[in-house]
Amino acid sequence: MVKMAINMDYAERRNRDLTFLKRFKMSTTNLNIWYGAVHAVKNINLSIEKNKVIAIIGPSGCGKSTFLRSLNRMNDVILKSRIEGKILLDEKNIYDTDVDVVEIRRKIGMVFQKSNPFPKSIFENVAYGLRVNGIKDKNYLEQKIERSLKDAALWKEVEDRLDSLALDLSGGQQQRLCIARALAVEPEVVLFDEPCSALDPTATAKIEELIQELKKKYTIVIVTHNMQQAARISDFTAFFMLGELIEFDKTDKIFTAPSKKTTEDYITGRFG
Amino acid sequence: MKRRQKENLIQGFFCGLSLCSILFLLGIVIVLFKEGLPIFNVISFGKLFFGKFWYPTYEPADFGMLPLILGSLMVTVGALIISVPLGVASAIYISEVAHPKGKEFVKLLIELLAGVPSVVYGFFGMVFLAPLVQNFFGLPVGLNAFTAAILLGVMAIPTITSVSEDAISAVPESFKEASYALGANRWETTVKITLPAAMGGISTGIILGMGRAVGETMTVLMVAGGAAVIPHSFFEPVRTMTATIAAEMGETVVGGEHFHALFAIAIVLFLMTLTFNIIADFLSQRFRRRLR
Ligand SMILES: Nc1ncnc2c1ncn2[C@@H]1O[C@H](COP(=O)(O)OP(=O)(O)OP(=O)(O)O)[C@@H](O)[C@H]1O
Ligand SMILES: [Mg+2]
Repeated sequence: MVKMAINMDYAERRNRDLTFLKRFKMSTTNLNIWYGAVHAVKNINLSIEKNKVIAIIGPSGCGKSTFLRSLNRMNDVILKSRIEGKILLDEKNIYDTDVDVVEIRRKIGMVFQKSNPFPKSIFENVAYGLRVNGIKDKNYLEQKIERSLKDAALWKEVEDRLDSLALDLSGGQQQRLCIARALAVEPEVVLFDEPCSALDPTATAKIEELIQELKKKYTIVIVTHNMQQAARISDFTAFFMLGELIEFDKTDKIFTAPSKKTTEDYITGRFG
Repeated sequence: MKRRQKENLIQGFFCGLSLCSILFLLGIVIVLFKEGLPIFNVISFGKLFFGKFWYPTYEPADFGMLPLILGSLMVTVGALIISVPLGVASAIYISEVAHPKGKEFVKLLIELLAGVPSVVYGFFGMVFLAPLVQNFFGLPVGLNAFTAAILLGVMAIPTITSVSEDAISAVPESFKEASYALGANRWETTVKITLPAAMGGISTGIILGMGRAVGETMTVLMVAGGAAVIPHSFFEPVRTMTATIAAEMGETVVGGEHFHALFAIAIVLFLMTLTFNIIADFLSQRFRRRLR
């Protein structure tokens, strides 16, 4: 009898875990990150729901970028950074020793603050990730590039000049090209680190609209300094301060009825 | 008022100094052309540049520069075959691969290489490298284009490495990050992103290294063998344009035909290095514009 009860309990827990896993694309457990002696990210527990937009806000230097970069192991590149804790993608800890970093970065794409297209043609920019992943078939490449540029809402503006240099595009177009480039390798999650901070309002609006569209296919995490932007485009908002996660909740809740005083102070612009 | 004067003074000082160097350059050009052009009174343009025989002391003399031009070309091409891969590879190692300590060490080595006087290279070549080449390939003489090319290649490495390294280091970190984020590894990133982006600067380095090899005199005078005949293989002694001027200038009659012929060689050399520098300059400027 007792044994059965334990078993049932186990089954139930497992079921619960499975629904949890189905609902959440990524989650971090007791995540800590250091740069040398600087403790940049402190004990973060956060779960990211599938096909949702998660915004990360907080004052400058609070560890937003560091946290974001840990999600696709971009911090590995920085020599003196050290990480502790777990980050699950689906069911797998991406920091396990048997994990292929390349595979992780392919599954979790990234768009940077400053648009950084390669000094190559528009076509080659989008093709790069595919080529690196071993795709040579010309037809497939062309289809995939068209698809990605369409998904990034850039196709109409560049379809007749795919061979011209990417650096000749406008700032907003360059950023959308970087998005297309990230989408081309068919990621499951796309990370954005302040993608609009160098753009004018029109270009920003375009990208925000695009992110709304993208969440149908991808899970999105976006760092932003712009609180209105977070409120406009995200489903969930995480508020970071001094490396700690102060509050994480539905965006509506964070912006209308935050449960912490610090969050309220930050949102109402009392500091930051 | 006083500060203004001081600024004018400083400006004038530097302006004067740079004018000085321009004056020197102008002087060199004027002398070169004044002493070189009279040779065309004696011999036609085609005969001078494409004549196959350089017998300046015969009666009547032959001033065919072709063997010398080919000698220079051969030695320079050979030097590039050696110095381009080694120089660029060292630049990649220094800027992309090495840990700080290894980086400092290789940089120091290459700076040392640049500091060795060319006569020492020549001496090393005559005493050590030439016999080695002679025995290894079973040749009648070890002083030939091959030996000279090896030495010139080593001498051109520092130029190529330091200019290439600057270019590679100037490639923005953001390009590399984007590449990593797309799943490329370090090697793919270096080959497909960093090197193409640095190509302008690297080719500048190569051209400057080429200029160094073409212009080098003492080493080739000592180890290239000195035969002013059209070479048929890398293992024959050759005579370069520079070595010819250095070896023969002391024995000519000032104002004689031979004297003017040597100056004509100097004009060719001058124009060649000038062209190299202009190309290098153009490439580095284009490179800078592309990265902006
Ligand atoms: N490469 C690095 N080496 C050392 N320290 C770093 C490095 N990158 C970030 N840090 C430190 O880690 C902390 C968090 O930085 P991070 O860039 O994550 O902040 P952020 O929230 O993204 O700030 P911002 O809003 O200004 O972009 C800061 O104290 C910063 O100085
Ligand atoms: Mg940041």
